[in-house]
Amino acid sequence: MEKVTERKRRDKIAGAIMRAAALDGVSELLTVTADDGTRPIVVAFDHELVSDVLHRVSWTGGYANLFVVDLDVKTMDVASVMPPAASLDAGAAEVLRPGAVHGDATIGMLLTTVGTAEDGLTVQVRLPSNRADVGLVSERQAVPV
Amino acid sequence: MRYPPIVSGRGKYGAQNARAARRRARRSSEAAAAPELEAWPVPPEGSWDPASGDIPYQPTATARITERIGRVDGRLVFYAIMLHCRNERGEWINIWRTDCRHGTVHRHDVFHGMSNPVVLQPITSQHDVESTYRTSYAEVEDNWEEMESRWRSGEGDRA
Repeated sequence: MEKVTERKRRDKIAGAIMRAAALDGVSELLTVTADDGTRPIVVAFDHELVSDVLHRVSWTGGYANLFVVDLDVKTMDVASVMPPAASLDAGAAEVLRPGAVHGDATIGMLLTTVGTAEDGLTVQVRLPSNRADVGLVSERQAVPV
Repeated sequence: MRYPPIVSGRGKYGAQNARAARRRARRSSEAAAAPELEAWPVPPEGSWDPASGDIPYQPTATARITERIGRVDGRLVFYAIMLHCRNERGEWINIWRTDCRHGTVHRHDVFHGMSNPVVLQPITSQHDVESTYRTSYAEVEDNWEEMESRWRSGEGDRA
């Protein structure tokens, strides 16, 4: 039997989000618009490394509507990811330097931190490989099927 | 005494054949008179809701699936599902596009030639747009890896 890879699982969840956007108009979760006017989707599992996820975000110009999925309880958090220069909330942002969030922290841990940020909902992540501003759009949505 | 078979001037089964011919003619004329189902006109892009637009998802560094959706009054009125692959020069090439413009769901792909669409189904109502969307997306979702692989192996248009 073919082993379902993580990437294929991500593809399936992305497909469900696409279908929800097209057929049900679920677009309030897609708050990030890239420079080219598109609203890119990136799907990650909560145990994935921040550095790996931000690497995938870099494929779409540093912009992403990031869906972080916890497969154990079949819920997901929705976050906005933008390049530092594009963030409108920079003044209210909390800076997490490599000592606070490092490349081998998980994206699930990062979103927990984002959810408890005191000043606003945007956290600046500065890793050696990637820089991004991450904000929480919505917590604990059911994963679409 | 043996009676000869009852035949008319049109032969043994002449009456039946004549009735069958009349039925065929009637059905044919009815079919000709029936109006052809008209293509459903896609509302112009200017009338689409803000929820419309392009949503890309990139499963790998070299392949991107993008759906373009048009919604009016909360209903899907247009879609296009596209597969782009990155070539060796770093350019994104559209190798597959299924959309529902011009009254049909049709597919453009590099294997048939992007300018030779393969018509899949007529679109005669907004309901057809919604009902074909799932199939169109699933077709790309299930086949993009094979399409990319075929294209990278040299099949299809290269432009």
